[in-house]
Amino acid sequence: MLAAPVVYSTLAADRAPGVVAGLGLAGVGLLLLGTVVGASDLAAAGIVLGGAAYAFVLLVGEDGVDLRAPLVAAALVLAAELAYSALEPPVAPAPAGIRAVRALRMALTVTAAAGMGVLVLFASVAELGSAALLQAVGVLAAVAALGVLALLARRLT
Amino acid sequence: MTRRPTPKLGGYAGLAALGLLGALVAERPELVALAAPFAVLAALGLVLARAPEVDVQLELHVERVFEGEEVEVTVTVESRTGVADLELALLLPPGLAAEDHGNATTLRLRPGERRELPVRLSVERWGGYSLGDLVVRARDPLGLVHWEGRLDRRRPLKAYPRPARVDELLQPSQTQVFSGNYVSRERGEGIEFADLRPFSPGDRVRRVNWRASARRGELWVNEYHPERNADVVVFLDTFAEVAGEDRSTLDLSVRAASAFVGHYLRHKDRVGFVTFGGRLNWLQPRTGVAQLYRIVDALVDAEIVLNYAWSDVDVLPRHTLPPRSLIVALSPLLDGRAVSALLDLRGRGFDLALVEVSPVPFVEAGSGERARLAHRLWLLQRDALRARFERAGVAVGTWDDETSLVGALGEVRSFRRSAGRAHA
Repeated sequence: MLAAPVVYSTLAADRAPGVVAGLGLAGVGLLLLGTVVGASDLAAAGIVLGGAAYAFVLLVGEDGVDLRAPLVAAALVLAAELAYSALEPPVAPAPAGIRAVRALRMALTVTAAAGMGVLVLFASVAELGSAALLQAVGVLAAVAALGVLALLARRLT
Repeated sequence: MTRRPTPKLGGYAGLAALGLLGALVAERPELVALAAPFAVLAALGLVLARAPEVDVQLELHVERVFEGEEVEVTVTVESRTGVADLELALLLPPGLAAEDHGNATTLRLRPGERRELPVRLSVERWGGYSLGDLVVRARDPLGLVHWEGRLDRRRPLKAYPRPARVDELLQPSQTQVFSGNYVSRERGEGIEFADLRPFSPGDRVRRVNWRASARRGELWVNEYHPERNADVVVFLDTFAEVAGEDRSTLDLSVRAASAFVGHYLRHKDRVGFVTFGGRLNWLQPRTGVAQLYRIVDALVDAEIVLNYAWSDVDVLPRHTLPPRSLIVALSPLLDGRAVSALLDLRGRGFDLALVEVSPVPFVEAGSGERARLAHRLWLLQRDALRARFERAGVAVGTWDDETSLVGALGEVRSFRRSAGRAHA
């Protein structure tokens, strides 16, 4: 599933498509290797490289918002969901009903990911305030999000 | 149950962090669109993660079963809080099997729901089992947090050996004083005619043989052989065994012992039992159904325990091996201690019959001339050992999984007949 955004990134690259393709293929390779040997860190690194390929296209490309970003986000989330479900071997086989519920849950997650991407892009293109203010809000939001994650994760451990 | 985050949680948090960092550095909102779903999913998963309250109970419908039969187990799962994804596995010890992984399942429970899960197990081998070791894993809806635990709901299960087929028993050479099914050598009350003798005061009139009396001109009476029982001790060698894929010499020995014990007890004999090996166990000869259960329970516990200490029959209590008892030994003749003990019993005058549970079908010759030569030497050594027993007057019958026990007992019977031990 990671191959789809990698292919898209390679085709959309105005400059240095070789670098994009290299990053993407490395990402796909690491993801496959991580899934086969059961190394979740390798799988995560593969998804990071897949995202990095897309990020490189954005960096070297033209200014302007890429409206296909939510689809890329959805594809990355789907690749991550599939990889992590393969990495966690089940204690017991699941009957057809449970497998259907899991597939539905995955589909809803991917759809929600695309929806979130759309909301973010809408917030970025709509004139909601000055650029500096928005940047500050963005940085604060990013720091706050990471802080909340860290607190919640600490609660678990 | 122990709560632990899955690798997915760490991965999503890391992806979100890298994406947001990249968005800040590159000043591209598209990277926020990539990172936001991972961040939101991770946060949502942590917020929604609630420890499930799951109660699992196990019910075993029978405590005793025979080898080859099926046993039904019911696992009852109940959750007050509900569980989105609950994986449950009943760990099976070697010897028990479930069809199509029927001992493991995944289910979803609503709050307050109670589910009963039947599990059918087939008992592949006799033995004592402790069944009820359960592994439970619950997940949150997004798969970011697991709760895992191992539950001990163990119940004992005894699987009795399936007796080998035996048509006719070995007759003991001497009988005891109680009534039974064997025609004794002595004279007394019975059915089988023994001899004639002159009438003496106290003899009953119904025993008078009128034809003989008329011929001789004085009263003569019939004498009969009484039916007596015997003492039989089943002697199981548990020093060593040779095993194949799904059976071993000990399996065969236990099945044969089970058959002998059942048959002799049905014939009103007193039956005792000895397991002679790394772990010593004995039961003094008794009759009745209770003795059958005692011996079969002891058989189920029979196992090979490695032990290098020398043992001989002096360690057994006197009453375990009554004089004039028939000792039926089951042994693969692999360990010198068992061989020595059996020859010692014969030397002490016991009526001994040996069923050699042959390990030969379990051992392949191996490739190469040296391996084949070693195998032939081993077979010759076993022949020499059998001859040593026969020279000592012990009847030996060889039994393996490919021949029938009836044939092995026939060998023993024909040896005993030719050695003059057929009747009491």
